[in-house]
Amino acid sequence: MNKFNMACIIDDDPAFTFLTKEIMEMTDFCTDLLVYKNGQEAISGLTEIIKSGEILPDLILLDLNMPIMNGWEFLDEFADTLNERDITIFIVTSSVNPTDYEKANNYQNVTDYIAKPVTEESLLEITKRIS
Amino acid sequence: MSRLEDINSYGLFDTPPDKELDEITELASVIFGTPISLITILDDKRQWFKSKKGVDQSEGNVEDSFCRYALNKPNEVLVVNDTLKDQRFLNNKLVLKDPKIRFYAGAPLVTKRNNVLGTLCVLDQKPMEISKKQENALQILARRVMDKLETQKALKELSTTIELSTSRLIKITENLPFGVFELRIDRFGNQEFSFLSKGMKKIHPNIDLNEWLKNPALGFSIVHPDDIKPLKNCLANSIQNNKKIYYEYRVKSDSGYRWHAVNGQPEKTENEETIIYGSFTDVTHHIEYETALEQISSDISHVLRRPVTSMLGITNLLESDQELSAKKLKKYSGYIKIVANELDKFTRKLNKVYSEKKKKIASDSSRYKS
Repeated sequence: MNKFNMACIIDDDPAFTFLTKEIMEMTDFCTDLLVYKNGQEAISGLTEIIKSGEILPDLILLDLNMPIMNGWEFLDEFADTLNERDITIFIVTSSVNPTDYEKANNYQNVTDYIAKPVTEESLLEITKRIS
Repeated sequence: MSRLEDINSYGLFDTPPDKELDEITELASVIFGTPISLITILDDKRQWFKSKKGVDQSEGNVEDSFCRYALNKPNEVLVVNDTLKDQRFLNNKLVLKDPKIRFYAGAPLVTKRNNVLGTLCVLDQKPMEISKKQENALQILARRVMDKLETQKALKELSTTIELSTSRLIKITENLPFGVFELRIDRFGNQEFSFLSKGMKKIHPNIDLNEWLKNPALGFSIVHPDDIKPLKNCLANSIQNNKKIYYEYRVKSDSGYRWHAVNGQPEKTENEETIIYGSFTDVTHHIEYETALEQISSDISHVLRRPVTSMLGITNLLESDQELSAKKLKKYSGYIKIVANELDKFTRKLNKVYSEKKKKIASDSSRYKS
């Protein structure tokens, strides 16, 4: 299994973050993990990383409903200011609105949706899709 | 039904003369060549003349009447050829004194219930013989009298029924908690309300109903600007395609906008007119209820899904972790607690929002009713 150097979770739910982290550790999914609690925090964090020339994440797992800056706003901001084509984004959501699928097609970086909770199988699927 | 009740049901006593009945007594008097002809109606005290030819008085006592002898024989013509030779009438006031009656022939007026109301009779001051054919003629005329009386009675009953139904219908319509209307649209598209119930006043307290009757467009003046065009389109579509109309729209009121619904059924008339029979209803509380339900179901699917998926994730982890240490278990249960608290908070909030909404709707609808 190909291992990610750096994965990133953007989600305000501590339970989700904890769970995903646990599963990532169990499956040896990535070497490093970044966690941001909302879109705004993620944008500033990633901007800092780019500035300092450190390693950017290969993969972002993005929640949609978050305070301060939600997932859609993050995607807009990401496309406008960061525009890092090598970062793959998966939207992670607990419920999918049919219109959300179409909306997601407008963002180049978004590969697909995965349903919460994240499981070993869904992480395996992500690895397959990217390699 | 007794004879008296039957008689009273015709309501004939002390009514004005009737031209058709007067013509029948006139005809009887000509056929028999008698100066006097009467249509008599008898109750237990009075003998009243519904039509009279050749006498001035319009009634007499039952005791003195000849006709009372006809009451028990609905199928026979009572003929007294000479009163002075008949024990029943020898000492009768009308025989001894004016008009000194000597001859009497009376055909009973028989009701549908086979009661005798009175008679059609001919009288003379000299004795007379009549043939069976003449008796028959008198019976035929008596039946004509009854036809007329039955028709009158039926018409009277019918108009009473119509009056009662009309007043009932008006009372019901006026007391409906919504407005009922009849809208006429001629073939040029001109619209006019031909009826607006008083209930309209309840849902449109600021509109003058008389003004509105003349000018239906007045109603649009209080409709939310965004809803006027779709409402007009809906109405036009209903008229054009002869289809039932139902549309919900917002209406200005003293306490902001309320939701109203129009409901109606168009009908085309022979002269290319359309008449819409329908109602205007305040549906604000339905709409609020629907919105609340939508909000709740959206909350359930979006907000509630989150802790539910977390809980699922934790149980997945618990299942797949082969060597679960006490330390890890404690960590997991910490997160279970977080998720459970989130669920608890959310369901409490949901309950609160829902009961507030219910209270608001209840108070709105009671205010609306009063």
